[in-house]
Amino acid sequence: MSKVVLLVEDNDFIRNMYQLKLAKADFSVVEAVDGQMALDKIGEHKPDLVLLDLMMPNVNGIDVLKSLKKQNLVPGLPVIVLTNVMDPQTIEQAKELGARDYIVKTDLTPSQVVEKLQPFLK
Amino acid sequence: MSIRLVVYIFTFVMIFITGIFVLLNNNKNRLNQTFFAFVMSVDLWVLSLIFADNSSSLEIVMFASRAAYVSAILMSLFNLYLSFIFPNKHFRIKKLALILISIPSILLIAFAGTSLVVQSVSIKDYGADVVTGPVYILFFIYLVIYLGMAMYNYTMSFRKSKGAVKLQVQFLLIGILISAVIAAITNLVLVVMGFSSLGYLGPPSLLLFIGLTAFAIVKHKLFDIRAVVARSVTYVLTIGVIAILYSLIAFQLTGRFVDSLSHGWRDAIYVVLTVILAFTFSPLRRFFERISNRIFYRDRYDSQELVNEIGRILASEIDLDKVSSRVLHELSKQIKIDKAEIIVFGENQLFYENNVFKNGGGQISPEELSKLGRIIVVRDDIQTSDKKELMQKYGISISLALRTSEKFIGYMLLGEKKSGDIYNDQDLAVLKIIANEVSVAMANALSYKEIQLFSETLAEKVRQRTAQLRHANDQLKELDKAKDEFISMASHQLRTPLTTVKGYASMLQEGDFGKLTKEQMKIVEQTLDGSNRMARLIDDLLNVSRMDANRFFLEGNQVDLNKLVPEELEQLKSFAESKKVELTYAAPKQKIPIIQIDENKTRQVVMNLVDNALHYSAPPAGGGHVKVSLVLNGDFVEFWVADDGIGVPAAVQKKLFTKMFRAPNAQGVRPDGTGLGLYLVKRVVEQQGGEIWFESKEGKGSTFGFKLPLSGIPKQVLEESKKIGAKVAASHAKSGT
Repeated sequence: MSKVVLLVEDNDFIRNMYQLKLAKADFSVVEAVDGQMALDKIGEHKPDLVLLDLMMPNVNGIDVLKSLKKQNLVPGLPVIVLTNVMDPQTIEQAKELGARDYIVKTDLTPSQVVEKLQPFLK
Repeated sequence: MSIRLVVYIFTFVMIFITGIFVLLNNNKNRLNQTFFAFVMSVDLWVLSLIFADNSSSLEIVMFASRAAYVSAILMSLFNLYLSFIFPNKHFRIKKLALILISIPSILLIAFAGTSLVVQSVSIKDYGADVVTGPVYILFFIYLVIYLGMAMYNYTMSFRKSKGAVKLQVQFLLIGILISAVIAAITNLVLVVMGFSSLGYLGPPSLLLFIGLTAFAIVKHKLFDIRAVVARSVTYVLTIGVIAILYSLIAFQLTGRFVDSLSHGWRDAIYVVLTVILAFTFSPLRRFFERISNRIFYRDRYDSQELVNEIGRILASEIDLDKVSSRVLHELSKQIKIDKAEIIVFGENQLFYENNVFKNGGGQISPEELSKLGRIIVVRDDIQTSDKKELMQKYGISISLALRTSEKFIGYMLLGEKKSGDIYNDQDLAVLKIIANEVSVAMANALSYKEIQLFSETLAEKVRQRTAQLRHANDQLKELDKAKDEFISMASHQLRTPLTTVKGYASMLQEGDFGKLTKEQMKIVEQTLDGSNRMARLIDDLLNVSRMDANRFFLEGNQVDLNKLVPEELEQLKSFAESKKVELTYAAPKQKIPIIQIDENKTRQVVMNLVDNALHYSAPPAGGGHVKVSLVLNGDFVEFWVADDGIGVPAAVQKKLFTKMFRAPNAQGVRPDGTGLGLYLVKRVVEQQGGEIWFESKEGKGSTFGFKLPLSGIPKQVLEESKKIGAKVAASHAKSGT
């Protein structure tokens, strides 16, 4: 049974790219375009992993992490931040809120990203 | 040896000494000269009386008697002169008048040599007895008129003068009165009445007049009554002791050896004795002066000590306030005065004022002060005037103008002595010395104060400028922050499209959208290279901007360099191929342990160095070989990149790591370089506790290397980075990033 990955990304073009690559890698991909949707989908689909963008309209990625932490969902759900925000404090904050890893999109190709996820799904 | 002779010889010597003393006291002064002439004429008179009374030869007695009249005429004349000059330095009448009043004297002197004045002499047991001639009456009238004129002058001087001058004249007048009365009685009245036996009392009485006048001339400011008494006591005791000693010795000698010695020998002994005693006068006087001082001046200060102490104070202090306070306290302590004040003027304004023991009277104004003039003013010495009233109003006894040779400083004002005594001339002499010293010290203190004020103004200016600079700096920091925030935001915006370019290009390459032709594959690879390069440029830009804004920081990641280096090289593989450069990598023989460094930034360092090497060694400019190696060396890991490219010209090697610097030959090969790469590399390596170096020969190639400690980023740097990170985040939170 394939693992369920929740891909949270507001930019369609980028989301489609990662969705494609994840699907190719045999993941079952659930998509969300903003923070609120992400939280809804987590409740609905119980994903095995969340790829979370930070800068999103309305409810942003940090808010999602805060909410997850509040619901005490973090220990069982690996959340990996996938963003182009490079501020140290944001990185620190995300990690403090329970993000397992922090990936800068332009640093890695989609296949490198998929590789990065593997250790969290075993 | 008669008592008469003893008295005469003594009188003669004393008068002579007094005359010489006054002349020596100030031989340039008319007054002293005139007085000396007068005294000499008196002495001549005494001398002629000695001979007149002690000679057995009638001829000598006659000559001496006539000489006595001549000297009496001279005495009267010089006394009249004296009356015109005393107590000042200048004659109060014209020269012609002086000559005119001299004519009767000359005529009378001519008569005195004839029998018209001295008809005959006889020797009585008490001495010479003179029978006067017909012109004697003229002589008498002459004496009376001249003495009268002199007395008139003295009286007028007495009336007109004030203060100390008045006292001077008073001394003289008393002397004249006593002497004149005694002389007149013994030498005129009694002679006319036929008695000349008491004539010998005339000369010693003159001594009183001469002594008092000499005193008035020499010590003309000594009007301290206690001083007069003290001096009188001194002189009376001195003279008394000398007289007793002289009498004892003289009479003992004459009593014992009167018969065995010839008349000439006896006289010789008297003369020797007289001379000896005359010389013992001075030490005796000093001795009695000390005793009288001790009796009359219990609170007398030691002027030398005072001057020394003031000197010490002036030498040890430079602060205006302290100098003046200490000087004033010392003065009032030693001289015992009720008030002392120092006033300093700066630019004609009252600049500084300091006083002790002020007892009412209020503050004297600068306008009033200017009335005192820039000299020394002694209240008792001046006549009734504005000055005197002013000084009385403020209880000032002495006003000493403080001035140096260059400028006027101000005033030192002194109140009255607590004892009620007046300032004598010794006080004044000391005060003058002190005023001079204080003037110099005040001038110095003023200069010092000026410098202090200047430095204070300077300090204030520096403070203002510093504040301005700080403000400007803050503004610059704000600008840097704004710039950094803008670049942060811009780099995020730039990365979004770059993500898709890089991402899709990589997927195309990986065949996610179908197999590509060789040509398509090449284009996709180049697209991927380009997007990677762009990502690095964005990173460089962001990092340099953070360094400028002091917001550069490092993260501590667990990094495996054994993997990191080949990964970066992999990314550059196609670029190297396209540039026809052979890129080789020598992996470490010993595996490098995982170390705590900033992964992304270290990647940038590796990438930048290799990328540079590829660019600058690309043919045809370079030889086309780049060798990368990683080595474990003790506690460090070393990274080397060697190329056979264009190299760095020796002249610019020192500047190579400077921001925005680009070597001229590098600009030719790669016109679009930013000059940020090496600047960042050096900064990142050094911040992580490492070291960077290079060796290069223009046209031959370069070798760059850096080493990082296996212990990872120094703790201190990491902590500092965290703080900076927090600040950056806080400002981003504010601006809503």
